Amino acid sequence: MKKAWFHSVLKLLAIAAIPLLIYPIIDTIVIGWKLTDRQTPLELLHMEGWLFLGYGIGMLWYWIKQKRKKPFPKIVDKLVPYLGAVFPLVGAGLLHLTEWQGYVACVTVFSTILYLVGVRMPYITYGRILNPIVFYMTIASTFICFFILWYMKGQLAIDEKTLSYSMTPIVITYLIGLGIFALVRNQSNIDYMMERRKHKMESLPKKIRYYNVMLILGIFLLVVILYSFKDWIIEGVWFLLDLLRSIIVAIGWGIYYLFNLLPESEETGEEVGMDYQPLAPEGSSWNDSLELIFRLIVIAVFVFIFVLYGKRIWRALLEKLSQFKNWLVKLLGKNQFVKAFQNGSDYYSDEVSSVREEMDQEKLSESAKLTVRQWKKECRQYFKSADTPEKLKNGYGLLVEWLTLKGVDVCVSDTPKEILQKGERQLKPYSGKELTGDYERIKYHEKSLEQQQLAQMTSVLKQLVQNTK
Amino acid sequence: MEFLALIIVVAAILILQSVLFKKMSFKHLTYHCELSRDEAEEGDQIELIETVVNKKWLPIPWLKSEITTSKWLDFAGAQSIVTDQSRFVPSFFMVKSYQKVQRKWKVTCLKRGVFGLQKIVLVSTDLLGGATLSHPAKVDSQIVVLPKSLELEEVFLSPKYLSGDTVVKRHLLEDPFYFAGVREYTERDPMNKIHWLATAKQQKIMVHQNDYTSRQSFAVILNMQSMPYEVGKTVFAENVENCIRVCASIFDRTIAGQVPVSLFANTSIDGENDVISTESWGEEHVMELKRILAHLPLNSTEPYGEFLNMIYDGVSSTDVILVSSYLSEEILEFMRNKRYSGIHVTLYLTGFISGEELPDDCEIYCLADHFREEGEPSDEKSMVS
Repeated sequence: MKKAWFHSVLKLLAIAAIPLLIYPIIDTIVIGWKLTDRQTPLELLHMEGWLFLGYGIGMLWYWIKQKRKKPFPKIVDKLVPYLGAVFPLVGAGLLHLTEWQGYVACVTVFSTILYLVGVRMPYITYGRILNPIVFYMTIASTFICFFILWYMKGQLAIDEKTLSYSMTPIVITYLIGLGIFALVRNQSNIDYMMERRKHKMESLPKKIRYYNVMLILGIFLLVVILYSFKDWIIEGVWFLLDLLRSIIVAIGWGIYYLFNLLPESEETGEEVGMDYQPLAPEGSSWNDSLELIFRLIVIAVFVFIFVLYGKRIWRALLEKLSQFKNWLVKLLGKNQFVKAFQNGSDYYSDEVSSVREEMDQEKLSESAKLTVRQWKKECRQYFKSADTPEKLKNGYGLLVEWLTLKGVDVCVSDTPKEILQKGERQLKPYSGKELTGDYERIKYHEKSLEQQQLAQMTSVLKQLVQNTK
Repeated sequence: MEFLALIIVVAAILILQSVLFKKMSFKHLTYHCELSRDEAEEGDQIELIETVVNKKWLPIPWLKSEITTSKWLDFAGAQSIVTDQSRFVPSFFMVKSYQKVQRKWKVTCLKRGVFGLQKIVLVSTDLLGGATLSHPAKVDSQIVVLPKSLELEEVFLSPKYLSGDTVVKRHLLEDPFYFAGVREYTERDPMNKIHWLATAKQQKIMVHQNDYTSRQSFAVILNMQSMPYEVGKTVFAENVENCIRVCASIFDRTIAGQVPVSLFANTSIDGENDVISTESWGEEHVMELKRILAHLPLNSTEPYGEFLNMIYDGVSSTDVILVSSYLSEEILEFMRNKRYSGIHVTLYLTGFISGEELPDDCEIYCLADHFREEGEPSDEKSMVS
């Protein structure tokens, strides 16, 4: 695959993201030795430096091998770049001359590992550098670090202010690392989809990559916005945990009372669990039980409301969201209805346009269309109306509307006989011929209305209402 | 807890985007692919139009349509992959919310025949590669590519020039509708032929003079074998394709003169009957014949010699044109027999031939590129003894 410049940029970003994602590990080492994390950002920079040094030396060696006609012996090829490990081994020590030996040893080992990882980077694609396994491992290691520090706090009985993380740098570095991870995953996915069928990269329109990057940025912004509500999220998590605890306690209480209803055991002569109150903490009072019952009632009420009115609430919410979205679109509204012509390539041309107008027109025409529900409503009004000659005409109108609902193509210019012909199949079981004849007599020949005719029309319409779903 | 909140937000968004794309990528997304014309000629440029409409808020960040069509519809150049009979073309789209993209590919029809879009598959993915989705698209577009006409005078030459007296067919009866002038009355002339005005003028009895006319019509007999003793599938396809183009050229020439023309071919389109068309004239009829030529498969149902014998009595046109890739004794025999019956017979040869193989008594035209003078080394034998 011919490499483009952006592949090199993505690779550099992927390499830079590694220390960002393992920032909590670096932080833990620093706090573990120094009891404060003030030095962590500096250490992060050192780690980035050793990683890129390893990458630089690895790239240089790679370039030398490419230029040379004869390949080096295998041992030389393997060992030479690793000889550069002397830099972090000595350099890390020199940078931390005044520190404790243990701390220097930790930092030196870490720096050397990162250097050696950097040396391998020229041979790994950017997609494989930041793959999902690496991401999950960094999350897991972060939680392990938090646990280690919490454990150390407990063991050493140190106060809250020392031996604790500053969350802001951790979150910032993690967010940046995450953003790079998402970008790398997205672009490597595009490369994979192209390569798996051996498609040429030149055939991929350039704007696709750019648009994907924009979407990733959009998602990143969404993460940042949602993270700003972290307090609510934390409260929500606590609430859910509390709710779960309450449900478990309620189940426990339920089991406890059920056991109480059982008769005394004859063999042991012991009463079953009267003194045992499961899952209730020591010193719990009647107030706690009341609170638990109250919570359960509230939950039950919410569930009841949700089951009864859930759909309506959801529809109303969607409508509000749709209005908000339309407002946002109007506010931002760049070129929504403008036709844009774009020249695709030597082999094709593209024309891009918006379909909003077309969809709005479709919606308007759909809303103007008669629905079964509306027709039934009109029929109900018809049944309630007074018996007049007009009523028969209205009834005939409802009959024609029913035919259009059934898919018969009735035009405005059609005569009653033509409508009868078109809807012959549908009207056959409902004496359509007679109804059409009655209508014609009333409308064109101005004959007087007979009760029997009206009754027949009403009866047919009632049947149609019943049979139409 | 802050870190946990971050992880929860990230996990929720990742899962949501994956689920959304999985469920909604192909919903409210319409794809349509068609060729701009139903009919074209060899070498014509047409368009393949792809239309993708996304009628939802969710954008499609990457969409690929894998088009499989005949290799004889040339488009996409280096982007396409050509196999035995098919051409695979990937087409990449990026469709934003509520957007329509119409892509027009420039297509060249390389060869005559009936071609269509064989298969189209749509492939999409989510933003992070968690889900790959594919969906087949409906295809029902087809094009009939008609054979291209040749400039027969430029492409063909007649190595043997027939000179001297030519036998002309003389009719027994005069054409009563064709007046060539007036002449003096003879005893054999009927009274109704007297031209009274001319008689008054000349002061002697004058009569109408009618001339002899004959309505010209062509029968084109196409040979789908590229060499003698060929059974079934045609071996030298290009020679037979040239034969088909010659037929198309001849049909085109009959339009201006409104000359009736018919087509005979020793192959079958429906798998049952040989190709024998009706004799008619005009542009519509010629187009119909060209469509028949476009549908002709590259195989033969029987040897050309047998076919000529079979249709011998059925061919009653004034001019018979044989179009073949090779020359054989049966063809020459047919030509000579028809000539003796007073029918003008011409043969167009598209295969390799040498001067020594051509008889002197028959009108034969050879492809200039495939003719070698006497004594030149041969590339291909077309004459069967």
